[in-house]
Amino acid sequence: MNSHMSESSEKPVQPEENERQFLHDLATPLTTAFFILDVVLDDLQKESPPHSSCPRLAQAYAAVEKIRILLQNRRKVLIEQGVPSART
Amino acid sequence: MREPKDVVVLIVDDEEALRQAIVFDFQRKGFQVLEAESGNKALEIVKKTKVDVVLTDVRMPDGGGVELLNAVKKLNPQLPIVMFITGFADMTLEDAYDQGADAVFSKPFDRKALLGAVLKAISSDEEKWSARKFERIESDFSIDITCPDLGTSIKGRALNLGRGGMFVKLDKDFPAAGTKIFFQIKLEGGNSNGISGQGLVRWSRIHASQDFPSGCGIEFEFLDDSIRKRLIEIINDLKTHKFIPKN
Repeated sequence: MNSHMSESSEKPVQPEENERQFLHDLATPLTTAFFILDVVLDDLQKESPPHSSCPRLAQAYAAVEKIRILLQNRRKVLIEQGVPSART
Repeated sequence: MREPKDVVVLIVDDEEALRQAIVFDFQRKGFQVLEAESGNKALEIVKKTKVDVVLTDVRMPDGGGVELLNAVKKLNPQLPIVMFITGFADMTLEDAYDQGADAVFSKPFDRKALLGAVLKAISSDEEKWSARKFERIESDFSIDITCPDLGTSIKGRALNLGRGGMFVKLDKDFPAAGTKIFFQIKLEGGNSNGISGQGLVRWSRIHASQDFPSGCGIEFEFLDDSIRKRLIEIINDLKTHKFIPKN
């Protein structure tokens, strides 16, 4: 059962609306992590020789990149389904 | 091309960690950087200070990015604005470009692409559109159509020009967003040579509505030498704040 209720109508919120909100809320902290990780990895790779943590940080970067692609793919699916606010 | 040290970038985001990371990155690249945690605070800065490009989130307390975009465009229609959207619950690409955004990034975005967008936004139209961006291969998408003269085409919603690209009405074979595209639009009558060059499809609208015909929004990447100067003059004469019009 859906526990989220819209404030104006008290009607249950549609599942796809919940999903959109969840993905929206997920996108910003993921951007922060992705951006900072990229900055740090770039810096450490420029050291001579590259910092010993680079391989592990690169794994973290790849993991976050995978989440980013999953999010993009889900956005595409929502677009194909015609969810209005996901028309990107 | 302007040097980063001569360019003032205003970064607007209520997410402090992200904002500070972007500030740090742009400062390191030599830009002058200002920051704000809301649209209203950013607007105060734009009113009082010389700003060359604005990077802004959409959803923020105390004035969101859409309100900021609209307010800035009233003050200075040419001031480049780069927007961060999630594409899930804030605004669509169509609306962002129509309201005047020069570039739109879906979160999470690529850091180097963001820098590229800022460098492009501060370049002159001649600089932006004078170098071919990609070689054509057979499978590339192309639009080769003939329209009435420009005024009639705009009135009839077959074609429209913005500061950074154009809307083209299509009835079938819609290119996907992100597709590189070659266009050759011949215009009947008048003394125009038409519009030809390369671009990137920023959005496609498959289903027409009463106000918005089906078609796609194309950002210009390159304009052919024979038409570039004249087309830039036409775009400047339009005095539009829209980057890519919705119709």
